[in-house]
Amino acid sequence: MAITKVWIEEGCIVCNACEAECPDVFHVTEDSCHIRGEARVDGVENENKGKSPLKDELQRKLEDAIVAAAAGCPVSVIVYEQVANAAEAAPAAPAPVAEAPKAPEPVVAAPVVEAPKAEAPKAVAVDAPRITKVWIEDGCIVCNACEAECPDIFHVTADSCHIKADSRVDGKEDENRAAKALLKGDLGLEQFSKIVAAAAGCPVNVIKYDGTAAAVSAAPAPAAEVPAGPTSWDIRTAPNRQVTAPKTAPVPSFKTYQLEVAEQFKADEAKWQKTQADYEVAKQKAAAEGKDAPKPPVRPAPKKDENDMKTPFPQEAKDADLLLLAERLGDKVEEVFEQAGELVCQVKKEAVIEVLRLCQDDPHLKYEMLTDETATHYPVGKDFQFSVVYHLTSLSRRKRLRIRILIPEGFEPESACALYPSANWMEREIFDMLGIRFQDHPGLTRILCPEGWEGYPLRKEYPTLGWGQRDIDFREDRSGMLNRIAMEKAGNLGINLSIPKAD
Amino acid sequence: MNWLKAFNPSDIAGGMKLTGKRFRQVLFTANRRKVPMHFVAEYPEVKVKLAPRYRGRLTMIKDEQGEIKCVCCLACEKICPTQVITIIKGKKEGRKMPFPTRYDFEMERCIFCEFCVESCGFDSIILNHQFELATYNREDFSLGMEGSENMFENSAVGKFSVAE
Amino acid sequence: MFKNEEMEINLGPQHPSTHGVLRVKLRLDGETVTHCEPIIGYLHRGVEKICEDKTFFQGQVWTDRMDYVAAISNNLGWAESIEKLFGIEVPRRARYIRTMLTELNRISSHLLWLGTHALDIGAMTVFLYAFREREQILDLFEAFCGARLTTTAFRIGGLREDLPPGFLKQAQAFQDRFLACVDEYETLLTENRIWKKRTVGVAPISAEDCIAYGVTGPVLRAAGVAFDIRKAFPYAAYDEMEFDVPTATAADTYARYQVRVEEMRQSHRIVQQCIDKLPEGPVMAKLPKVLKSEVGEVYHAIEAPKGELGYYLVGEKGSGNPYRFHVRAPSFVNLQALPKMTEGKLLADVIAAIGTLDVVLGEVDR
Repeated sequence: MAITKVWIEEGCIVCNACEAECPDVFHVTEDSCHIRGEARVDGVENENKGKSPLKDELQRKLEDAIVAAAAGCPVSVIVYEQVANAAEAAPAAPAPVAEAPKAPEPVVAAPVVEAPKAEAPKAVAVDAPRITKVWIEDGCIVCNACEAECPDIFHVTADSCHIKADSRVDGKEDENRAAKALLKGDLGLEQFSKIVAAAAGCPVNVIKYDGTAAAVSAAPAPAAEVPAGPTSWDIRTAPNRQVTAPKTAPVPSFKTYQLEVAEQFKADEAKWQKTQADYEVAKQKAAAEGKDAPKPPVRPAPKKDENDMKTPFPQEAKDADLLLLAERLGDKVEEVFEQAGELVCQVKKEAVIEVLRLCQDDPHLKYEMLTDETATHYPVGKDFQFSVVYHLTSLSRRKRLRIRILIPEGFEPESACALYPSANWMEREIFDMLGIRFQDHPGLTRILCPEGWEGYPLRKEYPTLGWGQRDIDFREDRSGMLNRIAMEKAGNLGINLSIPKAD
Repeated sequence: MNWLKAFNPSDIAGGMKLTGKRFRQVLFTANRRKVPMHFVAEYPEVKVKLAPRYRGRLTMIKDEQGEIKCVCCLACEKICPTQVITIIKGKKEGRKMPFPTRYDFEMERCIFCEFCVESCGFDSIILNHQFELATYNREDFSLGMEGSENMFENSAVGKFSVAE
Repeated sequence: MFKNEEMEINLGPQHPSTHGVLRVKLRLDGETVTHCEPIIGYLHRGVEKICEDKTFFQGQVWTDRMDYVAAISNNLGWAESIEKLFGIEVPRRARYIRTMLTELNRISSHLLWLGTHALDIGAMTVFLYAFREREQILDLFEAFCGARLTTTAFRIGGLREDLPPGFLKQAQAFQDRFLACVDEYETLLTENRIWKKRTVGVAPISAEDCIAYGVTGPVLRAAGVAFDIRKAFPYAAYDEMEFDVPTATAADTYARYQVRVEEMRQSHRIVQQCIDKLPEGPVMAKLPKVLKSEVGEVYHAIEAPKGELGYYLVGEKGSGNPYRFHVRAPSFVNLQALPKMTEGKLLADVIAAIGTLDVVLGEVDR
């Protein structure tokens, strides 16, 4: 037995458990776990998403340590490929296979254990289901269901559904019935589930697609005869009812926006260079074979939206108030920018009271009123979990300003009650809904929820579904049995359903 | 001099005059509906005239051939903010379009926002003008396509609120 | 015999003058209030949490149910904040219609306030007169969108449909007789000596306290601060309208009554301008079928009948739901000032103070 490859999936929580177990392979950095460069053939140190193999001498030596590290990973992001070593496996026939760790193996992709007969270690790459082409048969009823499901590919016009031009290789926009043009790039891979859902949701079943064998087999079988009897719904599978953790932390910021734009520009440029290089190769190939030269590629023009939407992106701070704040506060200001005509000033979390005092007292600022104070939960924020925003209004100057701080879990910002008494209830509401405590607050108690309430409702991990939310058909529920089942299911979701009993 | 005002009853008298004027209008007019600014409807004997856009109970529409127009595109089910609609897709002999085997409507939770009608591209559902929607049994709020709880006519819901 | 004993009583949660389920914990020394603590949350439904789970489009139905007296104002704030997040420009005709309906809604909200507030204090008659005009406004709402209270009137980018035929005529009929009706309310109340005894000097709050406690709307204007969001940060079509911001200086219940009555007249003026100047054109902006937001946050406030109604939205890239949906409810913030207004005053004045703040508990608890 030996481990040929090991890599880290998304979702590392940087807990150091793997490095403690096997420091020769794993190295935990600030944001993720890495596979050390000296342990790998290609010598690069990263998460090893490219699945570069381990060095030969380490493959057997560190096997136990890697398996232990993978088993001990709390979020099961360590994945490895394990093969039986041909040379050793022969004498010890199927025994090691039987002994292969079965029990607590929190490996995402199950380790591949080859049969002892295999001569060389072979990586089994699971062929991801992929759709190559999509077309629309005759008989579309223009119901918009597909576009709602997968707007990147389908576009419903007045008389039929079309496959969008920018998703197709030939760049035409029509039903794709005759041409059956291929989908561009990785679109078939990325949009796989959406296309399948759109095809299944089409009321007249005119969306057809073709793809790899896995894709065709992964498609859901046509629905069987629907029983006419009573129907009940599983709460957990009901749409819009599931607790889905957010994947990003959308904190608007001019700096990150600039970075994103630069990255996008770079990626576009690289893509264009690649297209040109491909074209050169194809041209030479065609010339060598004596065929006509292929058409030169055309750089795609930026998309023009024919609608009245102009998304307001963050812009550089030009307002005098923001510049004044940045000048007065120096390094206490993390960022100033404008978005949608609103002034935003992000400051250090320790300095927020100082900033508010400046805003209130300074004769050039004079923000007399704290209009609103609220917070947002960002469970996947890098070094913060919450943002607290203060909306200040200057009645005399007719201006608004947003002060923002980013705070980690457990940090207690100072209360603004002394400066602005209106913060009293707003901070109580933030504490009630998100569980942020404020220092020096007079009477920080729950305000909207009852005193003994468990959890903080506006956190992202708190389910929306709660007491009395019923997904059952009452026509059949005369005995209350289905209701009880629904309650039990709600209990599985971690909702406290204990009914306070009267004495 | 302020206390002198206490003897001047003009403020009270003005209010009494207005009240008396309105009272007289009603008392001495034979037909109460002829009174200007008369807003009282004599419900349930006389029902008020509802605006054409009034949002009442959800109803499915049949076309000229008596066929249900719904083609199960599930647009209404997806857009419904309170998820009161559940459609089960099926087939029917001699019909090209899909046919709803079940179209369940839990009126108990319906908030009459008309998003479903707005999203429907086939004009197969409307909100009708039925507004007497109270009932004694919770089960009566579950409407479907067949039986006594069908959606094509004024159902059991609200039937007893008509004046007897 | 002359024991100095304090007594604690609960006003509400089920009390006709608390306009919903507001509980006020009072400590009394005889008939004087020494301590006042509003306790809220009886109507909490978690609107902010629910709207995070719904799409931008669906969220509107919950805004109807916050301030159910002024649902159209809530709809307007919701629609405009989302349009600000996406950068949508609304056609001019749609903005005019929105302005007209919102001002009609302000009149109807103030009428309901006038009727119930006067009823609380003891003037029974004006209730009947106020509801008579309110009925006519609700008929207009029914003609426009099919519902009287939970209107769901607007859509992202404009309106669902244009005005129904005959709407303008119906609205003009209301306009023609409304000013005379306001005079009737004033005949019944303004000079009435009982009304004045119950309101003049009752529940005062100074302009400094108003600003400190974040109080907005008619209460702030009755303290002499001419701050109106319609003028300060114009939205919808208010920048094209001519109207005055009524203020008073007495900062008591009577001044707030005067300010609100005058506001009804100004709203009447705005509605008239909307009817006269209503431009032709489309009522819906051109939008993509599926709205996907970019990373962004907006705070958009409108002048609701109760005060500043603000919506704070955070958008996540590529998501059709708001990442965070927060409502700055005017009643919630204004209610904070209740202890300031009532402590040291008489118990009967607490009723007048709750009425004059014009709280709607659906909005306080959300």
